[in-house]
Amino acid sequence: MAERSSRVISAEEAVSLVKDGDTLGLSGFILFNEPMALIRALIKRGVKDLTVVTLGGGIGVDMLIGAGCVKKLVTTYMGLQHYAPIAPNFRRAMEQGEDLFFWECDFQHWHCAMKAAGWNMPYLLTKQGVGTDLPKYNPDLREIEVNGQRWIAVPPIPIDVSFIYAAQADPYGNVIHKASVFSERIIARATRRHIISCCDELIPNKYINREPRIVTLAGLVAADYVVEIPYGAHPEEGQGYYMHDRYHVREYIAAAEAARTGEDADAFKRYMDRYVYGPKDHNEYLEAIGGMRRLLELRQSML
Amino acid sequence: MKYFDDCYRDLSKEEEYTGEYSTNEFLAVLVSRQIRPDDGAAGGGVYSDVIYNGVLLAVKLHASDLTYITGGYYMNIAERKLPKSTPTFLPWEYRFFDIADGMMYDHDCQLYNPGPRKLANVFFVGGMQIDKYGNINNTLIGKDWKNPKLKGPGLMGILNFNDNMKRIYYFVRKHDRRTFVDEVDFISSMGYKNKYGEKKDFGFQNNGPTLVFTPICVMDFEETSKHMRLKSVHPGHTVEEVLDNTAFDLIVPDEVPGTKPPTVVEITALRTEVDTLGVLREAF
Repeated sequence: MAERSSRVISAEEAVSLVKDGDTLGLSGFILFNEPMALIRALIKRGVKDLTVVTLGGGIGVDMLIGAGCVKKLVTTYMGLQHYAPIAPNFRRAMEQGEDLFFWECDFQHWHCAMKAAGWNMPYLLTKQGVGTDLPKYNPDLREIEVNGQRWIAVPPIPIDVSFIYAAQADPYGNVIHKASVFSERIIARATRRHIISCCDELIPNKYINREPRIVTLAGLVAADYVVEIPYGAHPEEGQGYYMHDRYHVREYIAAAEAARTGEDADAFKRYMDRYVYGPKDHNEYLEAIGGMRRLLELRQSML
Repeated sequence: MKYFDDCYRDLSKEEEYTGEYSTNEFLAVLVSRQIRPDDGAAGGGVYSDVIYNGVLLAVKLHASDLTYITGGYYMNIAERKLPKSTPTFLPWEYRFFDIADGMMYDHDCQLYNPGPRKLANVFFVGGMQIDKYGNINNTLIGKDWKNPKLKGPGLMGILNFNDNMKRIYYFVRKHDRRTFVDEVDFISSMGYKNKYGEKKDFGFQNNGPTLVFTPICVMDFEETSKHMRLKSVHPGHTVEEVLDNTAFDLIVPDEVPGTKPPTVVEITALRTEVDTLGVLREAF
């Protein structure tokens, strides 16, 4: 009998699939479900000129910008909720004239770009953005007339590789999200090369067979590769497992803000050395952020 | 004193609350008064304790069929008690997690493009800058777009909500001349009109914002000119204070009513059934 092939790979193997200049799709929204462990591994490996696509960027995207990996950013929002209304590295890049193109858009433009990519369409239409300065600021948003009404035509933005954080996955790429599915399905749909799921827990396929309706990515959009990384969304929230780590979020922001304002130019570099470049693997990272004690707190605070 | 007391309930029948209350509690009460029982569903900004507490207060007081939409969840709390959580958590996800009617499995299908279906009747939005016709700037500050003085975090869904709701309300935390400007540096979302035309000609669900709430006053828009107008001044504040903190010429009627202060019914329900953690009583 032939055996079904496992799609499980290591974090290092996963990030080696991303090339310079790629368009990288990221799961999650602000402080939820970003594939943080893969982002750290990618930064550590070194990559440049990425186009990053995500619904609402959080610490992961901000860190990629801070590490100099991003050339273009396609997202609706770059803030860290009440911790930092504007993400610090993003703000520095935008206000200090760094080489970062921000594809300014609203929810519908973002979704039209993803759907147009997922459906192989030349563009999709939305009314949002007519009567505003947006088409002048983001030249991809083109105003056209259809049946006497003004619309915005949004071109596709195909993704090369997507990192999708999820609570669980089986070894064959079937993925389960425990709470919100923010935009993961449409990101997966728009992905041309590899959908890579970073899951907190690898579960047996049997478990999914009992209740297939809980699966959020399967079939057409099943993950091509699966990486098991417990606490892989830290310091963000891994929905269904743990809260975001507010101490660490504040530590990150303090470091990046100090570097942005020039108050302590090396603060962000020290943060990165300590948490990204220093730890030799994810286990060492978990020790660095406070180990078992901190992790248990984050789980307990979900109750 | 003449009051602006627009509300589905007849507030003149309710006893005025004479104790102390915070500005945020008052603003939540004002939000609740704008919600009508036939609104079906309402949504609030990204994370705003004032707005979500205000909408839920309306559900407890007079809009028991209203579904509140937040963080991808649909919920009605008419017969539910809000679960306790610690104030260090953001309320919009965790407090609703266990009591939601359902969630959006694909945000794009439901939230971003409701198509022939109606998502919500009412929404509350804010802006870094707002001009006299209600145009909003959430993109950047500065005339040189390439080198902005301040780059906003992005639009999220402000256009989507501004255009797809029957009624929209503006809501700002600070009433100052940096917010209420004569001309916005960037038109992110349309008010009643701007250099590109009038919103009513574009086929959106509304023609512009209904009211503007600030910590010191309520404003609306004059019917023909669509120019922002002072509607009422909150207790403890004056018309002069509003004018000093507004950079454009606000229309001021001959007689400016006061904003109706909270009633005993409103404050009691707010504190015992909605904001049980006292989040609104703390300073922001």
